[in-house]
Amino acid sequence: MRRGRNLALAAALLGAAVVVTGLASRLPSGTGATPARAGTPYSSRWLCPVLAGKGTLTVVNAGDQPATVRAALSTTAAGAGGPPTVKALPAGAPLAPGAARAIALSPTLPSLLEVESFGSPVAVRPSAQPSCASGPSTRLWLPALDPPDRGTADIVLANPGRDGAVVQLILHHADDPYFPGKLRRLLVPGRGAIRVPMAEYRGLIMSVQAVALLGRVVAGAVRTQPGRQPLLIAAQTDVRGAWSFAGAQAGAGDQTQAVLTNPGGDPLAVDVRVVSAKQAFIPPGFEDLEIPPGATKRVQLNAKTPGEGALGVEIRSRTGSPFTAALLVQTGRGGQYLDIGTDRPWQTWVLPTLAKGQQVVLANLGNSPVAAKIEGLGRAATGEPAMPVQVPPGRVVVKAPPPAVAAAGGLLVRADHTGIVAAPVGLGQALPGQVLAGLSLPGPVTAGPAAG
Amino acid sequence: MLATETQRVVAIVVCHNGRPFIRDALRGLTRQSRPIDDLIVVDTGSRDGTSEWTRSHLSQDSVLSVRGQFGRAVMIALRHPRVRQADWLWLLHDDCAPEPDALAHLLAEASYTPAAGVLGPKLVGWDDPDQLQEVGFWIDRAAHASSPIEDREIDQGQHDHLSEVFFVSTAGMLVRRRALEVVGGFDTRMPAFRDDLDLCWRVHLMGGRVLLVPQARVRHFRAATVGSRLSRKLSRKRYLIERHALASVLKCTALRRLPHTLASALLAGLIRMLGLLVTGRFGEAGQILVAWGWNIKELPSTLRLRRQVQSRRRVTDQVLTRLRAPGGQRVRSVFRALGDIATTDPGGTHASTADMRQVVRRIAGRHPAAAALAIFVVVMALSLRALLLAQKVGGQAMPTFPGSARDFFAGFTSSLGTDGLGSTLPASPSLVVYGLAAVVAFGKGLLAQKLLLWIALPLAAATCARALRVIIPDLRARLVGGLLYATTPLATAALSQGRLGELAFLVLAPPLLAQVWLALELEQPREPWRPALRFSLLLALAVALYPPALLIVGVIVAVAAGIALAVTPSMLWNLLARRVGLLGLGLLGAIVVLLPWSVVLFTAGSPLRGAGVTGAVPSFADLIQLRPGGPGQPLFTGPLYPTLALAGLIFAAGARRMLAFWFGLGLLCNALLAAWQARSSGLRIADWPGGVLIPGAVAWAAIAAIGFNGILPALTRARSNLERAGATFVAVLTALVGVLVAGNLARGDWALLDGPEKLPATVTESQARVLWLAGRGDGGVFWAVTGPRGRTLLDTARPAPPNASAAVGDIVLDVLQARTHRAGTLLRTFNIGFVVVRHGPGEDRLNDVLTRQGDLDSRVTEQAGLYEGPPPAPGGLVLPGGPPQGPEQLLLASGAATPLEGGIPSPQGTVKGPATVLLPVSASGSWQAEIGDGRLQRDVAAGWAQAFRVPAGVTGTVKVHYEGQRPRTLALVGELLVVLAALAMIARPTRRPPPPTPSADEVTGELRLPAAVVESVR
Repeated sequence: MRRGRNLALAAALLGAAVVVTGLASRLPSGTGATPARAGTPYSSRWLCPVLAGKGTLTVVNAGDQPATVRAALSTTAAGAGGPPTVKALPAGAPLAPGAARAIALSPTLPSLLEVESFGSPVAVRPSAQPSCASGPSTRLWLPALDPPDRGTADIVLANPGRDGAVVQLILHHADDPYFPGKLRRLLVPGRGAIRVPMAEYRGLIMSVQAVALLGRVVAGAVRTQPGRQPLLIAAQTDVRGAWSFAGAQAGAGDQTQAVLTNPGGDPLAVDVRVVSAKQAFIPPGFEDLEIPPGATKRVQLNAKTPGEGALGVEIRSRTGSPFTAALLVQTGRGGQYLDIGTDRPWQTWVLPTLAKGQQVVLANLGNSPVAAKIEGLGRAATGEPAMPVQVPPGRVVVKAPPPAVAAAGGLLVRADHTGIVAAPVGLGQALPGQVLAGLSLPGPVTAGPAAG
Repeated sequence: MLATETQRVVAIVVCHNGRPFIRDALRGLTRQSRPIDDLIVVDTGSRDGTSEWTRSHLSQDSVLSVRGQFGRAVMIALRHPRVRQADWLWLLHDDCAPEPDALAHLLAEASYTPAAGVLGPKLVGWDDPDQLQEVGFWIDRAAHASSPIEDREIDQGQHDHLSEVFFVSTAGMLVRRRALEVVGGFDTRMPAFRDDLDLCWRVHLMGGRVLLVPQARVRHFRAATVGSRLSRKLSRKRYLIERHALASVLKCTALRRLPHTLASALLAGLIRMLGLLVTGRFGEAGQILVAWGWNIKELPSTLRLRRQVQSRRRVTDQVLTRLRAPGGQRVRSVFRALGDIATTDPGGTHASTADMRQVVRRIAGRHPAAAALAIFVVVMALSLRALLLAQKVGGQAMPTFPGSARDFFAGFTSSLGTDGLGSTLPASPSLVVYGLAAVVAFGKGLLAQKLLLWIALPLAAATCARALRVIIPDLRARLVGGLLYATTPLATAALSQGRLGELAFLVLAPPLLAQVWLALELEQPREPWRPALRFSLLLALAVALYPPALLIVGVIVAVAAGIALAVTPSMLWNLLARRVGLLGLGLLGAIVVLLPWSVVLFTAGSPLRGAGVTGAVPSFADLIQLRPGGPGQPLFTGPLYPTLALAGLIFAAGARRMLAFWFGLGLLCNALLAAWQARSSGLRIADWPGGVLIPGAVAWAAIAAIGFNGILPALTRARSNLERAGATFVAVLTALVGVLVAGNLARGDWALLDGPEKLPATVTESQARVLWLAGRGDGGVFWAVTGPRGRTLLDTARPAPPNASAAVGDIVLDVLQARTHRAGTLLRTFNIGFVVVRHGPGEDRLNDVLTRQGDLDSRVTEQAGLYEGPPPAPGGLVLPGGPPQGPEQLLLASGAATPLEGGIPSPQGTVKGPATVLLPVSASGSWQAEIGDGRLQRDVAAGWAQAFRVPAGVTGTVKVHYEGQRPRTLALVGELLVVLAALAMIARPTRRPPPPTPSADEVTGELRLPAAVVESVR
């Protein structure tokens, strides 16, 4: 009898546990603090590795506030152990939103060009020099750096840090990676730059990997060839499982080559999808392509493709293993440029400097239509007109911005959702909007147990 | 004719198993040249025939039977009518045989010295009267007695001079009856050893003198000292000496000298303990600790007696310094004691292994709780072996402790904290608790840290087992409940993660909840405010160490009051309302005790806000298994806990059955609350749900204890086979839990062992603060700011100023969103010179955004990333123009910024107006800055920083100073007074009369005329 009452109470407690468990499962699942939305940057910096020679740097205010610009060229003479020579460049009065300014460059030695802005972010584009980076890295990839038979191929490594950096260059060609002894420990002085000529590796179809063993660097390269425009090679800082491009060209003598490098230990096989203004298709030549570990291969993209004009390209590793990809475009008019692509489509794109009459390519590599607007850089705040563009799925749209929009010098492409890749037709530069509009964070930033 | 010749002397002989000596003792008395006027023999429970022999030789009614020891025996004899007529009492042990002229000499000297309250004879050997035993004692500053006599010193008259001494032995002590009454008699809590010191000290304080009369000789066997008496109570000589000496210090030392004397006594005790430990006499070393424990337990009584003594004292302590042992004597005494310790056999006797086993078995049998806890302490020492030997303890949730005890107290008393972001908010009183732990650990912070980790779980087991007394009287059941409570996954996880706050709450929650239980009882054995006051102090301690305890306990009090209201008849509601009101006052009192720090709990910078993101999200099923998430939870044991709870309910007996059921419901509700806390995005008071679950764990332990109260008898006396089988099953299940827990403890796999990653000397030796970034699994990022040596307890004990914290958070957000490239410049205004990225999720992303910063240079490190900013400015910066109101203005102005010299709180430097002096501290009204005689206008820069405007045209040296210490000091004094008042109230004796003394303790029989007594002995 006594135990019977106990058992009844135990059963009642079990019942209560079941009820409370039910209640617990209905508790609201808190998501914690929400991540803050990215705000417009109030200061920005670009690091440009520049080679000796004359040129200009175009600076465009990409924000909606006036930007105070400071530019400085840091040089360390070869063999000099002292501090670098820093030369402030005349940057002029604050730049109005959307306004552009050219700053003359005439470095006599390989240098580090540092451009800072305060108040608003700026986009920069050097002429006749490799493009700039927003920050240094420990590992960089310079695709399509095969020295021509007649001409030069030079790498420039710049170190924005106070202390020296040590860099190793690894050559990826058709076979195993090559580690030349003289490229194993290259010292890049603090706030200085060095030029590394690659002419002696003629005959190799290669990409170069720069590994900072100590410190962090920015890199670029220039390949010159008689009778052709110099090829300016920007560095890629990541290896990814998929790459997207909007800068490919086909037809009218234009040729596009995919430059693929496999840094992994297993052979790489890729799927390639091309979209044109009329259709999306899978180009031939990639089905049986296998890139050995550590090797680089170039594959002609438009040999038998039905597309013509501007093309969007998506290259995806079949196994998801990371690799690097770039498109080398040679135009029928003797020009050439390298499109280093993006690891994914973005919602906004910035085209900082656009030549007069130059068109814009918007490639939709996704499966849903994208509504985009092309507006003058820095003009959104003033309410000036924007050009609406509809981009069907699996298509590219090529548009010439109207004069009122193009007058700003730079363009901003803003889509209603993530899904497009933008590029100027021909030589030019397109930056993902996040580079200038701040990075969005996947989670909240809170004070908490971070310290050790 | 001497005055004393006409005075009446009554001899009181106290016997205890003194059969071999009593004949000689009584003969010695009867042969006195100056006869005694009366004799009373008090037997304290002899079992060797002493009582029978005495009764057979004296008249029956001359022998009193008393339960107790010497002092109590004398005090009871003192009540007898014939003794009331006495002028002098001659106190003798049964192993004392006075020589014929002893009393005559004592009385003669008493007549010459009217102020003499106590006179003592020279004690000589029983078998060899030429061997000196005692000629009185001096004491040193630590109340340690020292005698001028060497071992086996022969009496050659070298000490035969009348001398005033600090105290004499009760063996042969002649004491003036009036003096004995005035000083309050013997302290009856002292059975033997140093009861004489205590009495003589009080005689001194009343203006009486204590004289040693060497012409009076008494043979003394020292039966108690050499262990000849068959008395267990007197067997622990060191324990009794330590405990009575310390009690005498507490009673007799003037308040002004008490701290110093007490500290000296404790230090001397520690040294003795160390000596005993080194020589392997662990038992005796333990006796010193137990003696201290007795004094803590008896503190209220001691304080009551102290009040009596101090209210009657006539002389100062200064007067008694002449009776202190001379320096050489003290040194000699120390060496003798050390020599004694070193040369004596550790066992005290030549105990065989078998004897030792018996001793251990006997101790364990008599003190099961102490034995079990001692074993637990040893197990924890083995489990934490690597941690206890580590050179640095930290990581997980545990900050590094400051180096010395002084740092804790300095951090607490200072009104300006320079660690972390720097703050003028009051520091947590937990620093005092940790500081006291450091004092115990010889002033070493690291040792205190290890000590706390080591004893946390055994302490939790002890407090839980004791607190469960309010519902379960059976010690064994409570002990099982307490041990299981202290080894739950919740407890081990808290220990593994170094969560000192949760561990403290784990220790304090059982007594805290027991006080809530007691406070709501309608029948109170003492004043009803006592449980509420104890609750208040315990809660204050718990909140200081673990702030969420305030809300947790507040909810429990509200729920308990509601339940009490529901089960109490309406006619008693008024009474219950008063009890609840007292409890509410107790809650309020805890907040008052913790003022001004407790105010912070209700502001934006409250530590109750937690991290906003929980460290673990356990499921409800996990929580009812007392598994709140995180490392340190033993494997496989989880389901056993709810099973044991159910088993406890099934075996609960009588009225406790419903109690166990309600506790079970309480556990479920508490687990639900913890689950809500873990998932909630709203009101989250802790970043780990384990702390919230602790009351549930106490409820679980109560169910377990209730169950074991039924299970243990059922194992042997079950009415049915089924019941016995069930009890056996539960016992086996419990044993299984014990084995699994012990296995997990033996592994010694504690997350804290990983330790914090080190920072290079360039960081730790700098004057800059450090910003720490740690990615989380959900893509978010934690940040924290510390001093150059990483996170210390001082960082976490002082709440960061909310505005400065928000400003740093904004900058961190800007950096991570790539909104700026000048993080170093912005962080320099906080004197943050380094940014550290911790290993973990998202470290590459964090490094990527930090390398974009133009003024942060990467440095080599064990961490995932280390970046150095511009040179630090610990004293602040001078910026051209007005105070910057945002980072944009700050960046533009920072190009011409110059650092001030020196550091907070008194930097200085040359300025030229218009300019702004920007300090790396949160704005507060306590900062002042002057140039010459002109005071600068205060301002706030960037929404948080203390700034001063330097007008145009003003040039000179600016001097900054801080004026906030005085209010802090006043607040601390107030806080101290409140705590002392609360302690005094607890120490206050109850106003209700104590229960009457049992009649068995009283005098039995009547006494006859003394002459007849004397004659019968002759």
